Amino acid sequence: MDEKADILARARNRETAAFGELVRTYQPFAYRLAVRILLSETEAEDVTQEAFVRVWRNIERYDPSVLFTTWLYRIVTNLCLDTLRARKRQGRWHDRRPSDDDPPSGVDIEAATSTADLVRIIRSIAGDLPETQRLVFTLRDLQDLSIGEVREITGLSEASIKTNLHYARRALRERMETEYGARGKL
Amino acid sequence: MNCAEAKRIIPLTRQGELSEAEQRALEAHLRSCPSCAAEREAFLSQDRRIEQLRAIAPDLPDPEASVRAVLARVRAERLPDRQGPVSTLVDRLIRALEVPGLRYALAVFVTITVSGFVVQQLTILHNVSSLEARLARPDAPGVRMAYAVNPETVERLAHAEEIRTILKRSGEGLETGRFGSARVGTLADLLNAPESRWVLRSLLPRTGGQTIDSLVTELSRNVRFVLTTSKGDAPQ
Repeated sequence: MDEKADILARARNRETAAFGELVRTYQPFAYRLAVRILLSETEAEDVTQEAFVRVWRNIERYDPSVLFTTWLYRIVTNLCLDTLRARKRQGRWHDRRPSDDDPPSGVDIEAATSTADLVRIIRSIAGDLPETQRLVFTLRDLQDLSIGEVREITGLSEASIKTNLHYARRALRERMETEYGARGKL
Repeated sequence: MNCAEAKRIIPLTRQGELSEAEQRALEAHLRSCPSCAAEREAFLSQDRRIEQLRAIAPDLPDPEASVRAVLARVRAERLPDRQGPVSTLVDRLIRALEVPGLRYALAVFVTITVSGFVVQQLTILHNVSSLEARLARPDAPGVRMAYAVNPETVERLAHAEEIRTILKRSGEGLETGRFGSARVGTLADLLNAPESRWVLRSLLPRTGGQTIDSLVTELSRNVRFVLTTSKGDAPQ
């Protein structure tokens, strides 16, 4: 049994110390996905913590035949969607809407390095995509998950994932080329 | 493959998104269609730019603080102890109380019960105080209960000493009538009213509850009480 599998087995046995190790190992993955979906570091931190509390509550339901990260991503994704829907009910799709008063970032996609760059660029090119398109784009293109993993996480069919990818990438191309030019200076 | 079919799959640029057959058919089409080939190249270029974003990996500002926060929360969680069915049942009850409606209903029920108990006890205390005050004034007007007892009979009783104390200290002062919320109509009612027990206990502070009970029985059987008015007229 490798180290991660051992930690997972002990966490399933409700060993708090092992669960702490599990959180330490996997929280970067959860946090990165949450930031990429929510485009808010603060909310992503909250969602990450909540996701691990839910992991603890439901760990006996975890099916070891599925990758732990896939199961974790499903929990994180659902929490993020809840957060986005709550924002929408409150009339705000983003943590903070980009405004005309915002200074231009002056960051090329190719030169982007920080989380702030990432948030600004994704908000600019994909922020207004329909929810499913943005989710599929985030999971596949930003989180670099396989189509199979995206299917496991979202429950969408492979055909639906590809259709949403198709529309999302076309919309992105339009925004990147018409609004910011071919080099995508944002 | 025609242009319409090609455009449907042209944005699917990443590995695993097209089947081998689709890939072959698309490549064949692109060789003969510069417009679709240019569009495909634009999407491939877009994917390379997105790759730059993919490489940015946001990190938690304080990972250890986050671990501590999660552990603090899970330690505060009440999770089923898988030791046995009793614990599971208790846990289910605790979980059930986590439902807001049930919790509020229980809070209302407990508040009403406790308030009722407190009011009842305060009422008894009030009644006992006023009864004791009236007992201290044997000539006060009102309906009274006089007792008639054969001293020899008392001496044969198991609780002779206590009964002598009661008779001596209460004199003719035991008052019948309304005790608390109950109308006292008979000697048994009078002796069994909660206030009577309190009075007996105050008269016999070192006597236990069981002794008081048997005292009440002996008094009921062996001491004749006569209801009188303050003017000495026996009630009808």
